[in-house]
Amino acid sequence: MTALARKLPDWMDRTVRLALGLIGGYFVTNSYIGFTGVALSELGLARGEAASFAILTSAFVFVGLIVWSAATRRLFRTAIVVIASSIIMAICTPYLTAL
Amino acid sequence: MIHTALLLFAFLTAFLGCAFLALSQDRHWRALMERGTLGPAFQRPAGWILIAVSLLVVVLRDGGSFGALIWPLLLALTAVLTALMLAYWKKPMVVLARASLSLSSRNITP
Amino acid sequence: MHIADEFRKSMNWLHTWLGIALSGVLFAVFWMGSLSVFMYETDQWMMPEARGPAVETVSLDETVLPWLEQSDVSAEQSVFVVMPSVRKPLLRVGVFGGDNGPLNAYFDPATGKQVERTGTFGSSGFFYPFHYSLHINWQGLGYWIVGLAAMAMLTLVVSGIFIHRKIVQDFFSFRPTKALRRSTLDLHNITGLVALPFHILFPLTGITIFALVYFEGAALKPFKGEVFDYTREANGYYVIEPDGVAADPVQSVDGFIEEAEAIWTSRSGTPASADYIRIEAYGDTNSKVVIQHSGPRLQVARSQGRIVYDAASGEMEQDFQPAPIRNALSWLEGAHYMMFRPYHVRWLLFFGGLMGAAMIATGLLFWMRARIRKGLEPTSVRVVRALSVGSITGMIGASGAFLLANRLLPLDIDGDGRAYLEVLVFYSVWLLSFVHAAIRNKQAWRDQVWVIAGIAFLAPVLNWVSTGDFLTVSISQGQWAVAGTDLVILASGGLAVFAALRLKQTERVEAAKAQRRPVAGSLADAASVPAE
Repeated sequence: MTALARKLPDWMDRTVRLALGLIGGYFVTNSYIGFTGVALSELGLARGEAASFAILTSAFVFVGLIVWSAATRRLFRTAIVVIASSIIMAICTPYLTAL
Repeated sequence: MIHTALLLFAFLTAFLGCAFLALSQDRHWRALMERGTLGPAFQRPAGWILIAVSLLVVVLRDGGSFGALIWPLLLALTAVLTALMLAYWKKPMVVLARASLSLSSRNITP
Repeated sequence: MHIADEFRKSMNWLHTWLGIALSGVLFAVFWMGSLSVFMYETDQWMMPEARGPAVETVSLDETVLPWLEQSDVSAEQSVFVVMPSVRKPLLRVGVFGGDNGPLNAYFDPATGKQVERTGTFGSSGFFYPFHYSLHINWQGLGYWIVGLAAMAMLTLVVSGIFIHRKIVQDFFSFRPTKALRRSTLDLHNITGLVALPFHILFPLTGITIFALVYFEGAALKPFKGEVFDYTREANGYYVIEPDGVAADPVQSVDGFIEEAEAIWTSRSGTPASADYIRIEAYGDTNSKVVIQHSGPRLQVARSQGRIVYDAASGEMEQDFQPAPIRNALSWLEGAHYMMFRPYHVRWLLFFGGLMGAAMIATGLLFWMRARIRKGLEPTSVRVVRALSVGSITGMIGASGAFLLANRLLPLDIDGDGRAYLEVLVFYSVWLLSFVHAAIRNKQAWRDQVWVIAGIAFLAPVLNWVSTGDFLTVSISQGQWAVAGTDLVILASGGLAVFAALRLKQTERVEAAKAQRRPVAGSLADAASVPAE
């Protein structure tokens, strides 16, 4: 896959990276806010506080993902991690309340 | 009255701090003074101390909450002012450089 | 390739791509945001009847309550009152919801009489919403574009730090005598670096303030999707439903305000005053009066309290105080909202906003020059230049034209007609600036900067002619909001003249150098150009 990515022309490689960082990053951030908010409130933090904390930290997660997607040497692996982490957090969030 | 004076003092210390830090850089020192010379070594610590003093004054005057907002922006303003003066209005900067030179030589010779 | 070089290279294209794609929007947001720092002062300039002297004590029982009784306000409607202050001299009462639509009335707190206001959205109704919604309301698209731009801004700051090789050495370096490319980059670096905390704080809080727009489902997860549970628990704000049983409308709210202010004052140690009052379920048995302290005058943090009274019994039903994390977020967001009083902080934040606008503009200019030097066909150059000119000087000129229109349009145009005409002038001038730039090509910068200078020198004159408040008058009467607006406009005119003269000089120098200079490299090369 890395070999394939290298064959891509520059502009296409960068477009894919930007799309991964912005769109994938958005979904991870979204899942992160839900997951962190629910997890922290389950751990005993007031719900309003948990949501505020998740929101406050979310932008840093997002920026980190955009930078990582742009810079990674193994784009395919990064894409898997981004997509998987978004899905896993989203799936796990409702079960946190059952724990 | 005292409030205005303190604000002015904070601005002046921040500006002098930035000016000293700029003078401690070879590029700016050489641009102001004769080529080949180096600025006295005290300028860098003096710059940082003056900047710390401006923080202290701002916090004393406006409290930590407003201070956290005012101080970084005051530094931004004085840093831009320093850069603009180094480009367009060198004279006061030259005066400051000469002053710090004579200050340091006075310290060395008893 | 070395891993650090490779990383820097990827940050370089990321910086370039995001910058090109969003610098137009970012400049608009930073420019309009900077104008919004003084929006209530500009409002006073645009609405002569709203000019001081400000009276900050007013009885709502004698002004707002009689007006509500006359106005057929029903229990389904929400009533809000904006208290008068030095920044906003008029008392405003508004009603929304229900069949008789949004109602608005303004009172002069000095006389207690109702005032007819100039038909204008003012700065707080046009510039301010522009900076977070671009006035694109379809599906909330404007908010999303600005949100994307804010994320891009954070990424641009981070990637910018990584690609800048000589942060310490270049910190104070502005070399206007070097090549235009070099001095543009110097300005970009200085304006970016010195105000770095500002450039991170503002996009960050811009996102958190609208978190419920951008991440609605996720942010409400702990509340099982109930938005009102969230606003109540995080912000002490909740919905009050009428019982449907008619009762005598509330007879007095002044006592509630006094009591709430006393509680906040003793709690914070600084004099606190209510700035926003809500009356819910007016004329119903479940009617409530909400006293808010959303923009404390002597604190950075906002949302310092919401006290709810039962309108009939006068009993306090809620005394909300934010919890620590929410309070920290309130500080960050309060720094963005800037509802506080101290003017030296306001001026510094205005300066920070202008640094942001200057950083974005110089970044765009630098990229454009580098592209043109690398070779770009004339048509593309024309398009790129027209877009840049229109988004920078065109935006500034259109804002100025908006102010001119405010002083020039006749006062007797009915309803919102006059206000919308001002907006029409803004967009027409903005659109024209793109067309003009496409036609005039390289001359466009200088032309438009001259136009900005002309507008800036004309505006205070028009203010003088239409209201009689010449600078000497407004200063001697202590009308600092009006005088300050005039002075800032004049100063920007002076700056525009300086810029126009510099542009002319640079054109001459560049033309002379044109044959001698080698072709420039990429952004990375330029960022490491040694001091010649």
